[in-house]
Amino acid sequence: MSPTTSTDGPIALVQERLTTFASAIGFGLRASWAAITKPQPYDTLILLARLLSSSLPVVVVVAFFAGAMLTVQAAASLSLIGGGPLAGTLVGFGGVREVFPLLAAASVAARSGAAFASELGAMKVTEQLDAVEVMGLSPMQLLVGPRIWAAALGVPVCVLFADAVGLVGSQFIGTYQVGIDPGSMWFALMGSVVKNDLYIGMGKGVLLGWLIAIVTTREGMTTSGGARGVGQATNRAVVRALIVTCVTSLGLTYALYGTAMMAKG
Amino acid sequence: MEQLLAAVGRPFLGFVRAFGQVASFTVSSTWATVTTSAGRRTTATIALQLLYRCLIPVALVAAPISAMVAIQSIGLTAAFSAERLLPPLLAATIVRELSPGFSSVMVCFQAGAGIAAELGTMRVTEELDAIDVMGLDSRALVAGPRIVAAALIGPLLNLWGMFCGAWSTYLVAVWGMDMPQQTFIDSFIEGITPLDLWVSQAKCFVFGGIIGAVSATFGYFTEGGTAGVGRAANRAVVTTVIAVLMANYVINTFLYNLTIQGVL
Repeated sequence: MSPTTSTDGPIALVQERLTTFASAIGFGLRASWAAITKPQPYDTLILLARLLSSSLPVVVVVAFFAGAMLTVQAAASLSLIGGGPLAGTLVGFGGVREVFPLLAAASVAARSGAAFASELGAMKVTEQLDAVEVMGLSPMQLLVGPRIWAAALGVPVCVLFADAVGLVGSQFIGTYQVGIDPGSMWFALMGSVVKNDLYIGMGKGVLLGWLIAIVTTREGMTTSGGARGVGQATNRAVVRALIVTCVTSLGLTYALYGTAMMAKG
Repeated sequence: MEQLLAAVGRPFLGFVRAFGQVASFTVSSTWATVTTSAGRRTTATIALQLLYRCLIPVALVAAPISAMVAIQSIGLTAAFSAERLLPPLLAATIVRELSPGFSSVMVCFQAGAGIAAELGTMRVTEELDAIDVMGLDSRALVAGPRIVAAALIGPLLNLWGMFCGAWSTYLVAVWGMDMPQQTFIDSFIEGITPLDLWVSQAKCFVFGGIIGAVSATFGYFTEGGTAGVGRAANRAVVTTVIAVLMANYVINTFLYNLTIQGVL
């Protein structure tokens, strides 16, 4: 896990990282191919139900507190210029566009991504994956594919929930704690939510879910070294999934909003 | 009715029990660590290890998210023809909320899961029992140092997160929208006060401590072999992320109240 294990200097380290990156892309393509050509609807449904039942509570709590935190912070900054309900505009605009989808994906990575990696890792070190292969079945089609579909279908649902709960949390805290008039807070929140941003958030969710599942299942499938290896694989999986989520979000933000705004700016 | 009460009561009791376990374990192991020289030495080593492991992940999270905020804010400030307000706005966002929040979430993912997985592995392979059998204190030597180290690296990683965030917004503003370099730097610093920096650092110290405490406790009391290690790491990440967000909200509320009372 620790990069210090490489004693051959920085060049070897960079080489190792590049190889890992290339192999991850290879794994992603193979896994996506397996998921698309040989979908397993029954397993996908079960995994989707499990993903939603385990991740949604986390998403709800995280989004509620994110909405609350954004509202308090925005109100604190805006109180200097007496702009109470403007806090709602900021949360509605920034929350739905960026914060809630990102946090929903991060929560799924933390809850279900870690579970994907630790399940597959435990199966790998106890030779269950080998057993599947010996039986002439493909772990890629049987285990990885359904997880990819489950995440790609589950994350958008989580994003919608995060949007709803985050806005309700913002309204609740804005009204009861910060003391903004309920009507004008709700008006500011709803006025700043654009339908397109909701669709874009869900689309983002599909892509992020797909990528999270690829990253975390890869870590699980390449686990080695007993119980220690499973722990390390889970750790690597969540960290890499979060990094991929953030970098992909930036790429999407730039592609969707950046070029138009920079032209204006 | 009885069943309903039981259904509500069970998770609540579970939460209270877990909270008590984390609190008592944290106090006893932290005390055992800071009062022994072996514990303090181990803490320094582990802090360096955790810092090294978190540097790149924190940069890879803080920089893209700051750039995203910058790109979105360009539109917002351009709508009011107030582009000059962009750098101070970004500085305040990064220093007050973005860097402490997302650096700490990354520490949850990297250090939190790592601590739980390491301690969990040591538990299921009976290494912790071996340490205790030798008459040494596994809390002082293994668990406590990780808790203290996590609290210590929180503020350091926050500084690093702010640095990376500032750089990425600089790239967006100066390269992306051709803002003059000097204007950006001068007005960027206007957005923050020394107090903002100190509050942000204090927050990260608290978040780091929470992350260390929760994940060390979950790892230390792992049960159920190899699969249990994975579950402990998973639980640690989820719980620490939620705990950090809740703590952030509580601290923000406290600061907000101080602000409207005119103390700050």
